[in-house]
Amino acid sequence: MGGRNFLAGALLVLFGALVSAPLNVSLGAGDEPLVVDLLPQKVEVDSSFTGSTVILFGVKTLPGDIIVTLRGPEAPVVVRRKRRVAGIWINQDSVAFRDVPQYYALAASRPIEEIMEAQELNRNQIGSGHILLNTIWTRTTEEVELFREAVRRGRTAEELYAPEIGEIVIIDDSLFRATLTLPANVPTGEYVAETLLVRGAEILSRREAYLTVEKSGMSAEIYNFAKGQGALYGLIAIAAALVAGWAGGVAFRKN
Amino acid sequence: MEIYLPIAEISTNVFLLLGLGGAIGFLSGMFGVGGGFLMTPLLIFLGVPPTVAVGTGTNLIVAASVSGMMAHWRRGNVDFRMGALLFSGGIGGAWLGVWLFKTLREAGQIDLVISLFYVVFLTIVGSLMGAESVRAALRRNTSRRRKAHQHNWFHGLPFKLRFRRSKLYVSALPPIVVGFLMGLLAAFMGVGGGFIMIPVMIYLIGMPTSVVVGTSLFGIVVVSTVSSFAHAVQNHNVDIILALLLAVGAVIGAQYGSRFGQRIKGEYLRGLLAVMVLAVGGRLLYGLVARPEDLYSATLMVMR
Repeated sequence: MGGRNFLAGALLVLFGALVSAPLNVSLGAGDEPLVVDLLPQKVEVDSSFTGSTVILFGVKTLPGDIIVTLRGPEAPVVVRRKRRVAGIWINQDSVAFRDVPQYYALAASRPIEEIMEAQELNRNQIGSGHILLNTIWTRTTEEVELFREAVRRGRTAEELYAPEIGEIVIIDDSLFRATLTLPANVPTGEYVAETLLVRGAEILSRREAYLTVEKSGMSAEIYNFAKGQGALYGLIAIAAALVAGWAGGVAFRKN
Repeated sequence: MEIYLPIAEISTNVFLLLGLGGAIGFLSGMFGVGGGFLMTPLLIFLGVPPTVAVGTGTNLIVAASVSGMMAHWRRGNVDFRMGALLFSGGIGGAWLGVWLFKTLREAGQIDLVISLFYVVFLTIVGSLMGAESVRAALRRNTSRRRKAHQHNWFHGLPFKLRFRRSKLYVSALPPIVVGFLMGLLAAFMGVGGGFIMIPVMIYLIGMPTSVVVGTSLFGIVVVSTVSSFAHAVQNHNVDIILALLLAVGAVIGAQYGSRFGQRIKGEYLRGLLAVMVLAVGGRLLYGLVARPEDLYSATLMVMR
């Protein structure tokens, strides 16, 4: 992806937003005090992908704080805990969690604790520490809380839960821009960016925007082929190995 | 030059992989072993997930052994009847091994089992080789004569068959059992299993040394083919790009290794290999015994 094109595109859309925003307000379009868009809306992960950023920008017509969250696709996760058995560390206890977001990032115009009470943060799942992680099969106990923390710790260590809260730039108290980082190991799937306009602990408006992350290029095709048609893939891999080994042998026998 | 490995899902340097393949090929050419039992642990140290290291290993063994097998075939050093028995046991072992592998993976224990298998086998093989090379070095000049083969309890087993190439009349059971064990090892460790099969063929079955290497290579090619296929179907853990890069390095490295190996005395060579094998085993053992940085690990639940 060309960084320059990307920047030019971002500027263009920002400009568009600037021009159209006053128009929307004057016409009272939808009475929605918040308008947002995301750029890009699709991220392609190919063999040279080393991470990327997405920019969410928008216009608000009422004063207040802006909170932006970006959630990746959800999947069930098993957390295992090692114990020492006969001198060796072995996975022993496990707790399963349903619908764990595989990615989570947050940007806010002020520290979120100043914007909302902890209870509200939990209710709206704002901040990686406030994501709802429901267990499967297990009742929640203090013990389970350790496993729940391990989910957050593990994802944060892999930078899948953004370790730092992103900054939101607000211009003239109406135009705003949030930059969110996608690491090199970003999972593929559908992402939801939610923008909240908050004033005095009250959510005045919320808007969603969508992002698709998908693998592209040869590595994606090999991956999909290997998962989708294991038998054919296996035969091709064996044929390739036989040819490579045989060709190597022949090449060196002649010398 | 960085390359993204589609199944291992990590980025690594192309030349690092070619070099690693070359180094392993050099060693296998020098010592006359498959090298799979060094390759899998090194891939794990490199950050390749253990399951992918094993699956890819089975594929790599196919590439690394096929030209050697064909060379022996041309010279008539393959006992196909014996090979067929190894093969029939090997298929069963490979499928059972891959199925067990899958079950353990779903239970979250596969990384541990792979490491344990390696620690145990590397320690045994390394110690035996080390002891043998020390003993050989001590009595360099006293040569021994051996009978064509010794008779032992193996020769009392039923279902006897005649093996013309091996000049033997023995039970069909031991080759099938050996093949079965080889299949299990291939599936679990991504190795050919030559280091187990060759001593069994020489000392227990009593095959003449001339056909042992060719026949074991034949068995290795067939068994690794089967287990590579089974892994690709059941575990989706064969990385074709990784396997090919390593294979290119290994094929070239093996040529230079075998030339270099002819210039060093056998017992020193085996002593050196023993030290290396023990070092790799020790490193894996340390990984099992040392307190992990984080006792908790999260993985996506395997979907059925």
